[in-house]
Formats: sequence, C-alpha cells, structure tokens
Amino acid sequence: MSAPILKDRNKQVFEKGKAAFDLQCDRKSVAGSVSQRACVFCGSRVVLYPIADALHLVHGSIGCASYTWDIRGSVSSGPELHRLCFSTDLREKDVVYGGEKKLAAAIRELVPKHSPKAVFVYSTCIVGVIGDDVDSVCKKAGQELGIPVIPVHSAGFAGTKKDGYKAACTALSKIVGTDDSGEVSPFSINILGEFNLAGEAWIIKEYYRRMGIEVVSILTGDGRIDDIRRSHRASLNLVQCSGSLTTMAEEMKDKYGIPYKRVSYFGMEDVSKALYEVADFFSEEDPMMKERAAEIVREEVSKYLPAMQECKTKLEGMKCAIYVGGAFKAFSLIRILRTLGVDVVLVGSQTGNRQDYEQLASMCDPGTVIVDDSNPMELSHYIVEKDVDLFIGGVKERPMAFKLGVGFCDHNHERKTALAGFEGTLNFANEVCASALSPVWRFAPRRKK
Amino acid sequence: MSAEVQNYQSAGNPCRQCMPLGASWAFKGVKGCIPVLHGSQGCATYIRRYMISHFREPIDIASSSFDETTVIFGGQENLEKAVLNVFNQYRPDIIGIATTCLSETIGDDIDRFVRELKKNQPGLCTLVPVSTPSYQGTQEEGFHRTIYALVKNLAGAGEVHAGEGPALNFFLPMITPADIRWIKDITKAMKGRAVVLPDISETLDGGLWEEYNAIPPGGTDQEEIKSLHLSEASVELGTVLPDDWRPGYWLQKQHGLPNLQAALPLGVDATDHFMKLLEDVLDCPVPPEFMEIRSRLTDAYADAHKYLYGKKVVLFGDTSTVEALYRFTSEIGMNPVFCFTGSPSGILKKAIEKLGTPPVSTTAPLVMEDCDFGDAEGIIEEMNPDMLIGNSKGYKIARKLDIPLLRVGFPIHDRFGASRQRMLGYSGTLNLLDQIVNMLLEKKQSDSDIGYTYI
Ligand code: SF4
Ligand code: SF4
Repeated sequence: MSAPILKDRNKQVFEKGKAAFDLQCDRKSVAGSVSQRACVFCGSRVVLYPIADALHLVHGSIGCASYTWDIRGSVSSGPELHRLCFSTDLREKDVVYGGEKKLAAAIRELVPKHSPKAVFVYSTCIVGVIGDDVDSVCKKAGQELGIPVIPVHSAGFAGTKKDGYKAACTALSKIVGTDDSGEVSPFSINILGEFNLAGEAWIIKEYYRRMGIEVVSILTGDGRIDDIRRSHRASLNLVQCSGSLTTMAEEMKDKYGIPYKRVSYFGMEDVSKALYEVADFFSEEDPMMKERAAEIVREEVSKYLPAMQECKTKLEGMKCAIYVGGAFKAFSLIRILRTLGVDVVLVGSQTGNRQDYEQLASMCDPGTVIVDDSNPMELSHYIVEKDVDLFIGGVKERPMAFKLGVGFCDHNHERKTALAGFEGTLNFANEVCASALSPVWRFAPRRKK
Repeated sequence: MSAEVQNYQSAGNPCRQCMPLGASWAFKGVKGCIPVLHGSQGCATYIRRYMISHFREPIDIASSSFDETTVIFGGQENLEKAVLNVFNQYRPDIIGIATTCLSETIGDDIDRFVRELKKNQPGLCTLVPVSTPSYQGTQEEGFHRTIYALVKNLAGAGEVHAGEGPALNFFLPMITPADIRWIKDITKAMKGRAVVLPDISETLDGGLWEEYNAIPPGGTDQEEIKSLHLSEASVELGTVLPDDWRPGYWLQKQHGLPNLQAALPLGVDATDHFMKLLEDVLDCPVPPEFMEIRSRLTDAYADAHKYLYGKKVVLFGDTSTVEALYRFTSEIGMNPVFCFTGSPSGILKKAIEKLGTPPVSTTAPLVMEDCDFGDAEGIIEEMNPDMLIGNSKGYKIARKLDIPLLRVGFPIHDRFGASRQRMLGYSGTLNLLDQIVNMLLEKKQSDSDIGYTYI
C-alpha cells in the first residue's frame, strides 16, 4: 500500500536514498490534516509557563486555558503560581462589547491576591478579532500595580508554534536587563530553552556548579523574574531546544554582547560536549575548568555506562520511530539510540526548519523516512511499513503505537521522569527497555508472528 | 462569600472545558465519523490531547487550520479544503463539523457553507454541521447540541430498522464506555435493542489492532440514526435539558415517537425506576440475574451504612453526573453538602432543588453553577468534608486539604481505567459503593496512630 499522504503534503515527507534531499517545512498546517501541532499560543505557553513566580493569565475563552492547566512537567523549587490556571473566560457579551474591561479587572483582582512578580497576558484567537487593545490595558495595569504586566501576542491563527516562541521571546526581552544590582561571577552562564521538566534543570545546574560556574538564570525552567532581570550580566548563553529561544539568544548577543552556544543535554555524548564547550569558553581565565569537566564526565559516565550497556544488549537491532516537537532533540535521540544499538527508521518534528532537516538527512541511514508536521495517518502507515518496535513521541502518538503493539517512550513536555543529563540518559534507556521489552506485546495481533 | 465570588472577573482553575470538546465526543460515538473543528489548529490539537489522556485511545480530530487571511476573508475555503482532505485521507461515512470561538466570532455561517459544499461536491459523505462557540457554554452544551444536530439532520430519512427486537433510542449524557455497554446489555437481556447515541463503547474503549484503523471501529451507524423515528420510544437519561437540546423531544414532536425521561440509573431508587421503565416499554420482566445483583446491593447498603452515615461529601463535574451522585449519596445516608459544576446552564440548581434536602440533613446543600475550583476551594475548606467525588482536576484541592478524592466523570488524567469505570445499574452502583466505603476506611486507617489492621 502506498503511503496515505495528502497531495498538499507530498513535499513534507522524504525517504532518504530515494532522491536528492528535498523537504518542505516551515509551512502552515494543511487544512484537514490531523496535525500533531498546537498553535501560536501553545508555543508561547511552553516557553513562559515554567516561570514560577509570574501569574499567567489567558485572555480569551475558557478552553484555551483549561487545556493548558498544569499539563507540563516543569517543576519549581519555590513558588508554584505557574501551576494555577487563570483565564478571563470571555462570554458572549464580551465578544460583542470587547474584553478590555474584563481583562483590566481580572489583573487588578488577581495581582493583590497572588502577589506575582510579573503578569503575562496571553491573547488567544478571538481577542485579536474582537479588537481589544491588550497592550494599553497591560501598560496601564503595570503602572498602577508596579510590576511588569506583559502582553504576549499569541493568537493561535497568527502563524505556527514557532511564532509563539518568538512572541514569548519578545515578552521575555522586556524583563531581561532590568536589574543591574549585585555581583555576578565572571564564570557565569544562562541556560536558555531548558524547562526543568521533572527537575532536569537542577541536574544540569549541578554539573556547572561543580565546574565552578554560576548559573545566573535558566530561561525558563524553575524560572524567577528576578533572575531573568539580571540574566544580561552572564558571560555566556547556552541554548538548548534550538527552536524556542534562539531569537532571545540572538537578541542578547546584539544588545549585551553575550555570545551563545547551542547545546543539548540528552545523551552522554551531548551532555559531555555541553560541559566541555563551556570549559573551553572559560579556559583562558580558568585553565583548570576543563579538568573539572573531565572529572565530572569520567565519574558520571562510569556510574551509568555499565547499565547502559546492559540495555544495549537487550535492545540491539530494534527499530525505532521518532516524532517530536523540535528537530534539535531528534539529533540527540538518534545519537542515544545508536549507542543503544537501535535503528532509527522514521524521524520527524512539528517545527523543524530546512537546516535541521538537512542535518537529520545527513545523520540517518538510507531508507529512513523524514517527515515534517506529520499526522496519524502517515505515522501509523510508516510504523507498519517499517515494522517499528518502538516509538518516541508525545501523548498524542502513544495510543497509536500501543494499538499496533509498539513500545512507546514519552519525550515531550508532559514527561515526569528526568531524561536529561547523564542519569537522564540511563533513565531514558530504562524507559525504552520497559516499553519495548515488555512481555505484553505478544498479545498484540500485529506482533503475533 | 458568594458576593465576592460573583464579582470575579476571571476564572481560576476551571471546572469545565469547551463546547467543541463535547461536540467531538458526540461525533466519536458515530460509526465512521471524523470531527472537523472549524477554526485554528490549536483547539483541535488541545482537545485531542485532553481526550486522549483520559480515554487512552487514538482520537483523530481535524481542523480547518485558520490563518491570518482566513480571519479576514472568512473560513469557507478552508472548511472546504479540510473536508475534502479528511474525506480523501480517511474515507469516513460522516464528517461532523463543529465551529469554534474564532469562526463564530468572525461570523462564519457554517450551515450555509455546508449546504454549498454538498452542492459543489456531490460525491462526499454525510456532513453534519453544529454551532459550538465556547463563549456560550461548556462541553456539555456542545455535546447536547451535537446530538441534537445529528438527530435533526439525519433522523426521519430511514425506512426500516435493521437488527432484531423492538428498538429503543437512548440519549445519554457523557457517560463511560463501560456504562454504555451495560445499557446495551440490559436492553438486550430484556429482548430489546438499544440504539445508543452517541455510542462510544467501542470507539473510545477498543481492543488492539491487526492493522491501523484510520477510524476506530464501533459507534452508532448513521443508518440507525436515520431510522430513529421508527423505534418504539426514546429514552432520555440524565438531567432534564431545555427542549431545544432534547433529541427525544424533537422526535416526539416531528414523528410522534413516545419520549421517556429518567434519571441516570445510579442507586437503588433510580435503577428501580429505570428497570420499571424498561419493563413497561419492552413488555418483558427484568431477568432474575439482574435482580440478584439488586439484593446483593441492598445487602451491601446494610453492611456499609455505618461508615457512611452523615459523612459530608462534595460533588462536582458535569450536571448529569453531579445530579446522579447527589441522589445516590443521599440515598446511602451521606450528606452531600456542596455541589458544583462549571456549566452555567441553570440545570443543576433546578435539578437539586427538585431532589430536596438529603435525609440525614436539615439544611439544603450549597449548589453553585459556573463555578471554578478557585471559587470552590475556600468553601470546601470551610465545610471540611469527609470526601470529594468528581473529576481528577479536583486533586489540587484534595491534596491541599487532605481530603480523599474519588475520581468519577471527565476528565480523569491521573488514574487508570477511566473508560471502564462503572456506576450505572445495580452492578455499577455496587462498584461505586465499594469504592466510596473503601476510600473512607483507608482514610480512617491512615489517619489513626494505632494502625488498625481490622476495621
Ligand atoms: S478558542 Fe474556543 S473552541 Fe478553541 S479551545 Fe478556546 S474555548 Fe475552545
Ligand atoms: S483558540 Fe486559538 S489560541 Fe486558543 S487553543 Fe485555539 S488556536 Fe490556540
């Protein structure tokens, strides 16, 4: 059977080795394709949500807020305002007469009650249409209340999830650089695009602490407004999760002269690299840092490698499909899976760009299918065609994998197990084993051989 | 308290979702049906994720994927494209089209779009449009509007009923696949045939697959919907809805079909009433095996009554579930002190008022509609109840106040087996009773310093 690909999506699916690389991406989802993507609002929410001492107010109808209430695994070591859900809950009359008054009243009511350090006001689809001047409401409220009240222009229709990342960066840039007080170490960094899912940011922060580095702020995992205010004083920015905060890093480079490096904390190889690169950066001022980084890597690798190898003996030769939000994560996943002896036969993302896909194509073996903004019909087709044993994706792909008797590992923002860092790599391997090697699959009709 | 509550301009920790979710739920109970949400991509994806996390089944919901130009020029072209793409990719029997806040706000006339689409694309499958702007109501309203739209669009067109036995139309609120199976079983045991709308018993709680099914098997066949008017009668279960939400009422008006209304059969009284109704309309006695369960249930009531007497319970969720729980917890001697729902429809207040004060209490319960967890938290803290019964979003309060939460209804995002949760009929009631009693015992046991091993 040929793949059930919609005509309009022909160019968003590519099989390596069949023709020269050619893949379209960065497009709006095709109407009627059951895209796994959400919307601009989702992109902004993902990025800003972990800021735990800010109040996140969704301006619009209730659903947009309901569906995003406490669904992500970003944890906080202190305040937990981000885990509450606030919405202006627009009703019929607001749609007719506008929601500005309601928004202003909501901010005024919520701020004294919860004492946030800042407010983010997300405008969703209908707000743009009913013509609310969200900017001026926020400005006025901010002046009155003495805290930043920042509009996030995230109407769902106005682009893709990536545009939501940009809107979040625009909002963040209003906070960055607003506090010059206090001391900051010359050996200091910010980590951008790390959201502290299941406490991952803490694991990473600890490595840098052991290297003698101060982490000024994490954008935005376990985030605090005051840290973000001072973040412009760090010496180096590390950007993980390529898509979401690169614009912010670019801006900080232009405005404050902070260079940035792209890193990944998934897989021992990539984590090690992320530590060495920072040590390299500071090597002139602190030549010993490299040795400390090497020490950490040695210690951690020796702690977790034997167990990894054990996983490998069990997983060797299995076939895996990867479908994740950002393409950058897919690079790391391919590398980890290789070290586990697993073949990647399908890889795709919701938001990759051309460069990302070129790199994916160059990393993959011939025959690997690469997809952009895919849908259940395509994904399920390739699961069967490529006889996949394991699927790595998000909640929406999980039941599809299970129906077909395929193991599944959640590598999305909802995860509750830390998958970053050295220990995270082993956690990942264990999760993969727990699903791919389960004895239950022999009851799945499709796997009965 | 309530004055402050009413002044709230914002919703904190909502106890409701939005209309197109209810619409998607209803459409998922029709055989070969794919929902298309007319609006931006996000709504469809969020709703999918939300429902998948509850049902743990593949749930495909398409979107007409608005962009900036759609918002200016209207969504007709997008809808046409979405419908054609869904048709070509899924080969559905029926496409359910629900609007969203956005398409409604820009003034898209969905009925006209669908009329024109049918004219321009004669080879398409059945299309059923429904208007579901969330600023007008919650998932419940969306759900009922959709059932109504399905019946109004399709019923009356059929000429015969396939299948055996006298057919009964069941119009149900948002209940679990397992409870729907029970309704089908009992009707069959009494020599009748249940035509359930929507029937999610298989589509949202199915088996493993040999090959991938673009649309999960199961659901009410549209031929059956077309022949609904030929059934013996309609049975509407749950709270009494406004007439223009009631498919049974419509069938009665248009086709003279008898329309029976009954409470959800949870508890002995409500189930007795339901059984009597079935006996009358199917002219067949209740089979003895069902009555055996009844006697086991009343025996369990006796065994359990002391654990339950006067225990204060707070109930929340959709109106039909809360009403049924109110009736049941009152029946077993608990004291439902506070009932709330996110729905602003006015239905719950009326329903509970009608049921009156619970036998173990002298004061009427507090009933709040259009109520969020943010509003409810302070009230619950003050009331200090023994137990909460409702969806999993109540967990934050339960944890904070250290009150046990029994998860019933939708959504259940932090427990397993939501689709198989039973509460209807004598058997379902017994299941729920066991869970309630055990939860109270567990709390008593873990709170005590003594560590009783024998309670
Ligand atoms: S815009 Fe309306 S339909 Fe869409 S998710 Fe929000 S509330 Fe629901
Ligand atoms: S209404 Fe817009 S912002 Fe809200 S979920 Fe839908 S697409 Fe996203």
